[in-house]
Amino acid sequence: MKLKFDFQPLRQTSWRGHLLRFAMGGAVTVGTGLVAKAFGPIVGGVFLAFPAIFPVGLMMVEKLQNESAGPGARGHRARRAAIAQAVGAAVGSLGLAGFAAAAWLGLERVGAGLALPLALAAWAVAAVGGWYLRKRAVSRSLHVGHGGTAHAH
Amino acid sequence: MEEQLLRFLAGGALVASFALLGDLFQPKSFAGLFAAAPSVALATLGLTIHQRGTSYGAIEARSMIVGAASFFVYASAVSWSLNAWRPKPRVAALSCVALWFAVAAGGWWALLSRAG
Repeated sequence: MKLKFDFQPLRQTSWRGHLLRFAMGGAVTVGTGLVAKAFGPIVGGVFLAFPAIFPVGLMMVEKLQNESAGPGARGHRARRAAIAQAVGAAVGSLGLAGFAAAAWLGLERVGAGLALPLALAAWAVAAVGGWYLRKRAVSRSLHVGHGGTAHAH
Repeated sequence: MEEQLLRFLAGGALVASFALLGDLFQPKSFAGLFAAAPSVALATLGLTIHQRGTSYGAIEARSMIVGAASFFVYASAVSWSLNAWRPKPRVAALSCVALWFAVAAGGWWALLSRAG
């Protein structure tokens, strides 16, 4: 499937869903700060990669897919969408590690003003790059699986 | 109290914005990248560095690598369990959080507990 930019899901998502994600994100950010205050930055830092929004996102995907699927495809379609989302999140976590490494190495060298944008760029490059590499590997294995050696592109 | 309110608003706004951006992309596996966006980290590091300096932020960022590895195990486990056992997605997502804590605690003990 090709990468697409689509505004349709915005019309399907309820304002409650956005509010829930806002509240969850805010609560986890406050919680992370409190953990760092109580146990120090070494423990607090681990919680910067706590899966705060992922479970909420998965619940929203499940609800949306179940609402739009027919009665026969309800659980199956939601599960397939959730698996795709989870695979994406696993690849995205490589980007999260890239962000953390870039921030760790850059903060004291170049300051926050440059280190944080560079760390965000590292996240984007690692996450999107990882996603493309995985997509290529999957399509290659499908190609080989279908005996497509004569159709090499 | 004012600090907590600021953290709540900054974290909430960044998390909601990244999630909204993720909603706009197809296929779902690409949208999933935004579920692992560094939104909480950006809000926390931004405020922490402002209050305590870059050295404190760098220590937090180093620890975050362990959290990110735990996230990888967590998201992989959610995907694997959905394939293998076919639970409801919400059940898989919530029950696997325990795995994140276990891997994070193991990583902290093995790599960070003796670090300065």
